[in-house]
Amino acid sequence: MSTLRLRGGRLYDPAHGIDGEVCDLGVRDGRIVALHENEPVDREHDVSGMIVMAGGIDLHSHIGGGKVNLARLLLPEDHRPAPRTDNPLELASCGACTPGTLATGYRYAEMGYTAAFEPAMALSNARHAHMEMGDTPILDHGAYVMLGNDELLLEMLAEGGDPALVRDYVGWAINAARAMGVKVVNPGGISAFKFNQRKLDVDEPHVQHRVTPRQVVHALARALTELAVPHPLHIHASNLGVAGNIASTLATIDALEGLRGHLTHVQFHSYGTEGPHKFSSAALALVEAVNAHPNVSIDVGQIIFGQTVTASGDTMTQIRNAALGSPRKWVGADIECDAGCGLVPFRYRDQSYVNALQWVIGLEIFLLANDPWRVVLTTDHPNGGPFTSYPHLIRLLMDKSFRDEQLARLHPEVAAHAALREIRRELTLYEIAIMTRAAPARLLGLADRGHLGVGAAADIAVYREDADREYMFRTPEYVFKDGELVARQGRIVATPVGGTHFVEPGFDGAIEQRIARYAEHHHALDFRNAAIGRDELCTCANGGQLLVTPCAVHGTNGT
Amino acid sequence: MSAPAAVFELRLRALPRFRVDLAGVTPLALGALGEAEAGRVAIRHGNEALALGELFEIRRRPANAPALHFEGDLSRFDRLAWEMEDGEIRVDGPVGHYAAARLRGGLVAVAGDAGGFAACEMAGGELAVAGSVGDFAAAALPGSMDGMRGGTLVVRGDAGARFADRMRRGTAFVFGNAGDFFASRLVAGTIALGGRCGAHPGWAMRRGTLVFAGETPAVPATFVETGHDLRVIWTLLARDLARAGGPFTALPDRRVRRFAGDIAVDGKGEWLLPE
Amino acid sequence: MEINGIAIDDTFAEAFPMKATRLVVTAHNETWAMHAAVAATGFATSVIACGCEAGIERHLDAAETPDGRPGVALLMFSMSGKELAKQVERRVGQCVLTCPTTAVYAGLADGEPIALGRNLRFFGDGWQISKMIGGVRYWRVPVMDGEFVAQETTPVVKAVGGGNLLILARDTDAALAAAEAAVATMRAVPGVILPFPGGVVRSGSKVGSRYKALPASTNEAFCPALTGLAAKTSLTPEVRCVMEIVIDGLTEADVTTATRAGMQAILERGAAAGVVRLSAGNYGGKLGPFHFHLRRIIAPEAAS
Ligand SMILES: [Zn+2]
Ligand SMILES: [Zn+2]
Repeated sequence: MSTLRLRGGRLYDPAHGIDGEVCDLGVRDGRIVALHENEPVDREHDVSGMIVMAGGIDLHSHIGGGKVNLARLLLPEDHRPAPRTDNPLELASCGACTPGTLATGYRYAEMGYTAAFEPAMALSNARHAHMEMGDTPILDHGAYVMLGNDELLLEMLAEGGDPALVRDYVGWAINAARAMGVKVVNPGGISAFKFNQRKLDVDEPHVQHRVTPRQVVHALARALTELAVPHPLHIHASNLGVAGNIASTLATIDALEGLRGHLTHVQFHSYGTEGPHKFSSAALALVEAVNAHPNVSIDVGQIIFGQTVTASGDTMTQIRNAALGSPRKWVGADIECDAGCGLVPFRYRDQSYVNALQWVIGLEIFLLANDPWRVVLTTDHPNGGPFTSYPHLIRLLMDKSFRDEQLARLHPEVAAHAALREIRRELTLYEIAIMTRAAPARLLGLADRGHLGVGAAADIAVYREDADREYMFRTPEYVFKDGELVARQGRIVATPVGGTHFVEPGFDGAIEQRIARYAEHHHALDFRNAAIGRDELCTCANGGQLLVTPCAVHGTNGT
Repeated sequence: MSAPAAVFELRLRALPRFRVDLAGVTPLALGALGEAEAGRVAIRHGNEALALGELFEIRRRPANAPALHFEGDLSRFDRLAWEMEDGEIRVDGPVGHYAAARLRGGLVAVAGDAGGFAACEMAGGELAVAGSVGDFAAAALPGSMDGMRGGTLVVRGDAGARFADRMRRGTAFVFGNAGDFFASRLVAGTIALGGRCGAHPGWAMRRGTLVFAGETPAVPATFVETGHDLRVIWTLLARDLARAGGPFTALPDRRVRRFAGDIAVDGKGEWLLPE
Repeated sequence: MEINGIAIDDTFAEAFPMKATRLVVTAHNETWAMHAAVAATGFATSVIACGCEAGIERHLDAAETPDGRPGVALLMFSMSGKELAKQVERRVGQCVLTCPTTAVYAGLADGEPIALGRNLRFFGDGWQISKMIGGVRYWRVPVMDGEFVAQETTPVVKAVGGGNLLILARDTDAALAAAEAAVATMRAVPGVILPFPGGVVRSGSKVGSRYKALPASTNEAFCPALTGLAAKTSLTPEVRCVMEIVIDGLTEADVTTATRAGMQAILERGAAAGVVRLSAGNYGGKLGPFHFHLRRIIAPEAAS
């Protein structure tokens, strides 16, 4: 039994409508509890005047799997300026846009984040993804398995797409990969690429299977609804990065037909074709659609200027981007025709018209959306920029004058004409707490994370109030993971092993015959090794807790 | 240069237990310091910081040009002259890895052998190694697009594998033998080899010149002989290389055959094979 | 002043600043180096209409050239670096690149570089190769006899153009013989060229003309046909023929040396050879900053 009290902090706990109330917080054995104010505790921290939030949750960050590892291999130079820490608790690990597993855990925890989710786990490579995430200290983690470009699903849809068949297949895949949800990347497009199509719009048929992205999106969203998987279909829509792709994005929302869907890195999908460069912001159109569709949630994928690497399952897009790479090198890969993979190093430049506009579009989305519960703060690490830029991003959202200063430095045409100039909104601490904790927890179905209610896991970040929100969010005073102090003033003080989040939806086991038959004909891997058992997951996850989120049927709306 | 120039003599006290990182210990950096101050300069020894004076006996004397003279076995000392801009460093024995890596100017002379990645990504100045160098000399650091991109590397002994991998500019000499993948992925520049080389010389070279003054290697199928009269450029080149001495002295008097390649990539490189 | 019966006018040649470069053209043998050199310096007598003034400075032994072959040093002068760059590119492109076996190098060590092979390389249509040797970049352009090698750039220096010497003689034979003797010695001086045919010009000019279109016209003061007619003449009746030697040099000292060598050659032959006077052309000293006083040049201590 160990107890802890945080005395006198200002709590921001949007899940309970608590907006800056001064209140003590009690913890017993890693859980938040109600402690009597005179009850003696093992440890007590005076946090009066400080801001207390649940630990941050990143629901879209590429932190594990083949793609991430290939990015590290592609950019060894990212690991050259080794941060020389004098902290004996930190084992050697480095990298800025392609941090090693250890550095990923340290850097996230240092800034008050306690969970991150890998969005693009290849089914055939799920073990690797879990092992890498298991090697990432402190953070809880989970992953979405990529479906929608696997030949078997496309085959099923081509045959007419019996919903029960698709549902059982999806259910099997989630269980086999120990996934938290399903991501569809460029629906059908990665497969179409292999049949020499170089673009695939929402209602364009795949040349081989004659299936459209619309069908793929709808079938998967329906399957997840029927499986009662809490996290809605995680959708990387068609035509990422292409001018005018807002039409595809709106068509994708339409394809959901009211079913729940989470549109990820929407910044990359909100481009119009207006203006002299035939490239313009469609943030308003996107936000209007999101506001009008309560079944839809988004994360932004904000870009941050500087060097990064784009890491995507979207081979079709990455082949196109390879020529823009900086430094000019890239990697593409494929395993078992599951999906795809492309890594292109990229340097976002504020003097580039396109990059400057991308920066503006992301911020416009954040600031125009009216329901923060359906908007999650991400940079699509590392695609838009490394996750370590979150404190900077938070300051951009909370500080209009700081934002204007940055805006003035952009490509002059963007600086002069962006609608962003007229947006006065400054997000509040309450709204930031929603976008970085409460909303992602709710969208993932995590009942005991992302809030400070009694019974919740004691993942807590305590920030010292500072007008410079970037500084404040970069260096929390205290960070607790399951009640254990893991970081103090930006310095790691403990490195517990994080847990693995996953779901176990029920499905009809008869589907396995068909999958086995397919695998026997087309796969290099033996079907009998496809599914990851619980014990094996435990090993992969470095002995961390297995955190199963139940697939109880719940409402079809986001909130 | 505003700081008064000085020569530092650094005599190694004893072989260190772990590897030592000498990055930052350059003639210009020490030049402005006194003997005692120089002794307090922190360097990395394994995972700990150590004062330079704990490893070396240091003597300073005024001089016209800034220089460091190391005495002793520096084979555990890496990154000698790393990113050095100017000045002179002499070592009377062997050195560790990354000697003169990313050198930008000045002279580095090593009397013994040098480890891996000697002169890698060097951009100017000169590294002269009296002994042999390890793998990846004049090459790129892992991940970089370009290897050596200027200056001169002279190896009087042998070179390891991947000599001048991705090299882009400058001149490199190996008096002895070279390992496998000699000048692989060469982008440009000139390399003269006095001895023989291992497998796959010039693999995927795009441009640049390899002069095989010693044993003539087997010419791969992706290189084609060009039968033209190239006496003009050969004279210009051979006279310049001959100044390095040794096996290159007689180059201007030798007739030469030329092969262009690697046509598997760009094909604008050349092998010059003196008869 | 009079030496060996030849009068030396108390006057000076007035010269102008120019931009110059030296090129070294080599070839398989001296014959082909000369072919290229003669062509490249052809039609280059005066900047008035040729764009540049150019000439052969001297022959080079195989031992003196970068590639160990016989060669020729050329000097080219223009009024601006830009015009010189244009002339170098045209002349080397049309007369050296085209000429069998040649190669071309910069002949000066220092100066503002202008393109030599830098633009000519594109003749290679993508097959050209650059090579850095000893810190110098060369271009290698595949051509039908092998490869044309050209140094990337050639330095341009400030130079002196329009030095001159006027030979006033009793008749045509005497004037020509004196001019030829002077040219022979002057051409041995390094750093200078005598850009006119045979080194000699007979159409000495003055600035301006009664015709609006012409910037220069015949200098009637030195025309024997007009001795009794023109309002102003510099001739006496016994002068029946005048020749001029124009001198361009890399430095003021080079022009001085060449002028002195020419004067000495003429003076040594004495008045009996038919030369009456030596003079020089100027514009009153207002236009050109370089003044070459004949008397000071031939007898530095006696004059002044
Ligand atoms: Zn994506
Ligand atoms: Zn992503």
